[in-house]
Amino acid sequence: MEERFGKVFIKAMIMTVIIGSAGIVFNLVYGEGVNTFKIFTPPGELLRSDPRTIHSVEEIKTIWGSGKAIFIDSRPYKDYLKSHISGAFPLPYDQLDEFYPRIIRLLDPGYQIITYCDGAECLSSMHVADYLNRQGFPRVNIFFGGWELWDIKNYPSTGGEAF
Amino acid sequence: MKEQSINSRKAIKPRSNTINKVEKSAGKEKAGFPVLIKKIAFSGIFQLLLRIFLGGTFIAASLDKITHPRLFAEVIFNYQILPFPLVNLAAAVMPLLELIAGITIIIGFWTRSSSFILSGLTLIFIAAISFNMIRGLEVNCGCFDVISGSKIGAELLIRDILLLIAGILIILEKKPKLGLDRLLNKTK
Repeated sequence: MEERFGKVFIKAMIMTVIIGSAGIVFNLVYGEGVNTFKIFTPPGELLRSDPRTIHSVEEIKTIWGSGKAIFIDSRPYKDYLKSHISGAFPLPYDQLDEFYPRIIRLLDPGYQIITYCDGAECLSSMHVADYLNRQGFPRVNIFFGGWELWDIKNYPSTGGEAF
Repeated sequence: MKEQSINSRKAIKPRSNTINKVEKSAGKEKAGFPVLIKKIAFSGIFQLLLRIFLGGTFIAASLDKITHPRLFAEVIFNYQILPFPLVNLAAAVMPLLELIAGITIIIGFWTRSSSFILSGLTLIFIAAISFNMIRGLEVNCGCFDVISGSKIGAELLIRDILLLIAGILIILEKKPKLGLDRLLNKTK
């Protein structure tokens, strides 16, 4: 039986509505989901208003120089391998389960932890900070300018494996 | 001159008649290269391959977006096309649509409608990518994984155009074979 194009179109619309609604509901239930009924806030704005965010790159450099904080790179691991803030450990947001057990032994809840990602327009540093908070690390800060700013300033960086 | 053109017209007529006769003798089918291509394009096996190509690509592309909707929302935001109130909606709806329509097109359920949805999505991607390439905005693709830094580019556009062609060919097949649609129609 041949199907008229009008029918094809209507069926496609029915599918879109049903699957779309399922997607909206799934996201409301899923912990990492987006809320369709809230307006999207750009990463820069979210990061800027986060109380854990440290804005000044000089302040970050001072903390780094003091050696009293652990730096956590939340970018994809291949970016970490290319280059990262010297001494930083990788905890890619897309591979949390894989990397967290490897770096847990290096972390101490008493330490200050600084997370960073690409720059001001990425949120993985914030998500990883949330994750570390939930794992029982109270002193987590986010480096607002991220790798982009560190690199522009030509501050110490290294490439290659961490472990 | 006039006579000549009349003559040439006359000369053409019987020729086309003979071709018609040949065609009729060959089981009412037209001969020639385009016809062969058409035959292959709408053969059951080739259509199935097209469906696996289109559906498989979309299923593979959807998985990372379904598990990381927030990062996908960031990717959509970075394309700087959708207004803020629609970004979260798109991030919630699109990945599941890609996954389910990808599955239904492979198993052949509502094949043409699934292809219509996937072709529509591909068309949106093509528009979004070319728009940002024209205005020189280098955004993260967010095609297969939402977090990696792979940027949009010409090869991506070519891949999407191939997907679109596959989708259109599937929509044009009015009687989908080798799938659930066929079985369902038989039982009716």
